Amino acid sequence: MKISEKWLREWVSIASPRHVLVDRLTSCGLEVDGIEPAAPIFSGIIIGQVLTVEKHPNADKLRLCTVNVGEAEPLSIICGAANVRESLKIPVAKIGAVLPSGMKIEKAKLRGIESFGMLCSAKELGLAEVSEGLLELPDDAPVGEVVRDYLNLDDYILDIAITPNRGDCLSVQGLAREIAAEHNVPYQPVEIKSAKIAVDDHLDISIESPRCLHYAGRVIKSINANAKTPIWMQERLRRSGIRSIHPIVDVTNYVMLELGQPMHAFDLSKLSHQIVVREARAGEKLTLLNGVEVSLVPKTLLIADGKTHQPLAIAGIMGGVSSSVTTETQDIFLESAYFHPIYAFESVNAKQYGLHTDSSYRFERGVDPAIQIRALERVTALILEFMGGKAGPIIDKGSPIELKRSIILYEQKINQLLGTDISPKEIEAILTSLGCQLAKISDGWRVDAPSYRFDINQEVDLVEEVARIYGYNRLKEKSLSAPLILTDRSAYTISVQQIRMALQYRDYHEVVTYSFIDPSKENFLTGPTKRLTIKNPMTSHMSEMRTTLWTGLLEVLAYNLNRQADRVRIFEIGSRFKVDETGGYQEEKVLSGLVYGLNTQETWSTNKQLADFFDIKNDLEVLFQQTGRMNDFRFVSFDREDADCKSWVQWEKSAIIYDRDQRIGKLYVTNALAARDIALHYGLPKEFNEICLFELLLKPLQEKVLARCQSISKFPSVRRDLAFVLDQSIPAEKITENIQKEAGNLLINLTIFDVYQGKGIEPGKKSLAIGLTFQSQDRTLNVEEVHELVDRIIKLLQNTFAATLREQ
Amino acid sequence: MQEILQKIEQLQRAAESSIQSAIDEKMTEQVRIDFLGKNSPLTELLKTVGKLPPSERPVIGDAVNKAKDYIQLLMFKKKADIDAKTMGDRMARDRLDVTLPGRGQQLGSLHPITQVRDRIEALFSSIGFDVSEGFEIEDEWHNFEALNIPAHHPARNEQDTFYLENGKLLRTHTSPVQIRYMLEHQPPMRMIAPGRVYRRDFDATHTPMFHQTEGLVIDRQVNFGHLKQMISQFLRRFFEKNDLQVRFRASYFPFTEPSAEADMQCVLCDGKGCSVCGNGWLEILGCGMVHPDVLAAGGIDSNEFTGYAFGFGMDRLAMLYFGIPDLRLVFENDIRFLRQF
Repeated sequence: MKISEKWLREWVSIASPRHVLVDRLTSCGLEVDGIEPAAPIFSGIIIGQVLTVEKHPNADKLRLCTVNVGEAEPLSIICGAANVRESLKIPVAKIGAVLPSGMKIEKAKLRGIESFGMLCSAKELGLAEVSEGLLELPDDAPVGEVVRDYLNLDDYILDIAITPNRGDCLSVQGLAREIAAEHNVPYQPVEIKSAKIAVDDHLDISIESPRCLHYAGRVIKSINANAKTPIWMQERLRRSGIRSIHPIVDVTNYVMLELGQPMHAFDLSKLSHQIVVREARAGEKLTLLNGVEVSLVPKTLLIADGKTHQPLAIAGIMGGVSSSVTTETQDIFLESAYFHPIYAFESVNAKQYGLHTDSSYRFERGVDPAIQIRALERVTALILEFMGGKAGPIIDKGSPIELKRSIILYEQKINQLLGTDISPKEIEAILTSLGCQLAKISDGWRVDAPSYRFDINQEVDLVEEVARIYGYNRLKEKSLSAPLILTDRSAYTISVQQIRMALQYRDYHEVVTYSFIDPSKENFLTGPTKRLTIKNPMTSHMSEMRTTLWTGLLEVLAYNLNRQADRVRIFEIGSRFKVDETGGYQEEKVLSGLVYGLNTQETWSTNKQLADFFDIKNDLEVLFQQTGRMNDFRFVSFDREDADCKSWVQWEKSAIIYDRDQRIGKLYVTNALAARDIALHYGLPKEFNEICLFELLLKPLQEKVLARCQSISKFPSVRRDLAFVLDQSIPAEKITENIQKEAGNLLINLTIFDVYQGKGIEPGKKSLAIGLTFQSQDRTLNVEEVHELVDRIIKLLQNTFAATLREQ
Repeated sequence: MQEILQKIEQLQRAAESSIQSAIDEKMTEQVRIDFLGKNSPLTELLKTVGKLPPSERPVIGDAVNKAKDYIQLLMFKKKADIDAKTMGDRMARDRLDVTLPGRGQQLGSLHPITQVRDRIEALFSSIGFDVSEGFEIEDEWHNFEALNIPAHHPARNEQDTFYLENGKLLRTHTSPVQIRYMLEHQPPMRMIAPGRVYRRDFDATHTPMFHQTEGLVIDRQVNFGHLKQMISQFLRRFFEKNDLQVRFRASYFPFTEPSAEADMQCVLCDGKGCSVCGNGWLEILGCGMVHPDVLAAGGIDSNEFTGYAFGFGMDRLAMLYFGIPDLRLVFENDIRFLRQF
């Protein structure tokens, strides 16, 4: 909330300079976000009155004026503003004056005629963003007075952030009360006298909804329709960011700023003297003050005409056009009501309205329920003073609600929670300064919080009040003692950090991408998929929750390739959100990665080679080895019929990954035939190489088995190399499994050292060269038994796979 | 006899000069044949020793053998010299340009946010804080109601929540982990909960997804002084700046009472005031004593236990820690940016 510092200081007299005032407000929870001067720097501008206006002989739009500035001789000034006219009072920049823009006023010749100064608009003085014509000053503005003094411009605007609990501070009165307590001084509320009743007009008011708790109003007749808002009031409104609109509206806004009570004025001639506060019915419509016709949502609280049944205003939010005050209005009905905070909140939130007004803002946070009549009298007094008119009696429906909450506060509780020893005397002083009423009980007090402090409901709320006025920075820091208990650090779990670092050491960069994705992009990868959908997304590109991290990774790839990167190795660890048939979902942590480009950095020493399936497989194998259960993990050839097999995947080069029987992930290589489609969906450059992608559940990578020490044989080992020719479709794993089974534990190592197809090998077959190392724990193996073992292996592979030994 | 001895000396000298002038293996071999070979004069001399008078035999024999030994020694030395030179030539040819880069994979990088997260976890773990993650998809009860934010509460409007079609929502803060943790554990407890959170906000300083860390300590007799000490110490250790100034201001969060906002002295300008902090202070963290209603929602008796909680943005912390000038960089994942960390 923006407010004039001078206005505040009128209500509470403190000697402290601005920075102390501001620091104290901030440290007590009312953060001052900004401090700006009420007007930019300018000088030499005084109030003048136009005496004569003549046409400039050489220019259609310019006028020759004589202006009285309180000196012996009037000044001749040329002016181009349309609203310049005789007897008008305006700000005059005399020769030597400096405008906010830095422009210095000098004697000038305009189309052959001399001009001795300049008549100013509000914009030229930095008092408005835009303005039409000269700033018109009131008729009683004293000629010759310095404009800065007259408009009280040597002031600052404080921009104070009000937290949702402190609706009581959304007014000068509220802030003054708070400042007074912060500085332990009294504050001076404005004096409000009840208006003299001069007419007896009465409206029938009925409240038909429990959400309006108190509705008061009064008629004022015979207001001077030509009256203007006093310039000082316009200035105060301006400093709070409120535009001057109409004298009556200005006064209600002014009182809202001053006391915190939003009010509304109706043109009495457009009412039928019956007011009903009720909820909207289906099909009702209302054209609001902002010119927008809204279809009223049922349950919206309305002010309606009791006779015509027409809605007049959305209660506490905005009035309707039909009953609004106009330049002709002379008779009005003023409303000062208390609407329940819950109601205002729900209405403002209603999408159909999309409204957020100064009034609704205050009703949302809670207006002082004890202030309606006082505010009504204040508006009446200001209208009568500046616009004349005759006031009717106050019409009062409902009742000012008692929000009395007696809270028991124990002295011990305060000091226990704050770690302090604040004396009972100081506690009493603080709470009293905040407007609380205290009654002493044993060990504490019974405290009644003031009506405007909705936020004080419990003992801890009072503790906070004491703490913030006492000063958070005075609370002593102390370290908490706790029992010495070792934390659980399981050796059976690999931390996420370890996994991330393993990948870092293999030249991967970790990325963080959004969890919501563009469904059209992800559908390309997954096919149409059920996902968790966001009801109110920022954009359609972020409207569903990802079921794989690949969309984000491909976007990162595109981002980098489009910026001349040629090698991208990235991974992310995060959640994916899979939806099952029944609509249930799972938040699954996965490790996902993407590899593109050369397998190592471009180098002087080896051939350039693109990273392929086996490079990535090796990266993953390192993670599997880390678990100590390498043999649990298997890569299984992709089945073309597999539901996961999408057209963008080259299934011949891709694999499913298993941990024992559980399918835990996949390693995909993109299909060159789908390159154009991939590029199209992800904004990749036209030409790009194959992309390797992997995604695995994180948990299996974290499940570690503890190493058990095995004895190392003292006896020599024997190695035999065998090359088999067999059908190309038989996976190497099948061969190695069979060998291992047949050889038993004498086989201590098995290496595939060559795979060959081509010259010398029948088409459709491959040669697999295997090195077998045998060793016994308790003796030296003799040639015969190794020979016999190898023979058995050869026979087995011959019988099972029709594998033959390759001719040497 | 003198004549023979002279001849031996002559041969020795001749061998000496031949060895000296030999420059490769071939020449030294020739010297060996010439002076030590089967038919060399010295060998011939030795053959004739038997024909000499007995008194001269040992003298001449001895002289010949000494000369042979001497020549042999010179030959060895020469050979060693020549070998060393040949090897040296070969090594010089094979000399490495040690300034060429090494082979194989380089070091990748860890994202600045996860690095900061690791650091936070390490600091708090060192004094026995548990690390808990919770869920990114939450229900209204855990995200709001249990945290003392009822349906009509203005704070709920301000948070601009993403709602899902299934009635759940994306957590707007890590605070629901407080509730989950309290319900699953018995006090005393101390934990932090780092993770992703979501709000409908997208501009130069806000992204719809960002990262927070929540902290919760519940014990008998925990007070605001303990909270202040923990926060100040954490910030000082995190930035490794023992004299870092930290100040506490009153603030408002529905789930703590009293509530505070902690500001720290700007680490970029040492509190002098700069374009990032303005007045020398950075708003860094929200905290407070856990509200009794929140303790109740977590099944904890507020008459027996009190606690404090805190929460802060890890993205902002990472930006300050690494001097990242723009939040957008953090989520763009430009390899050139990532490589720096």
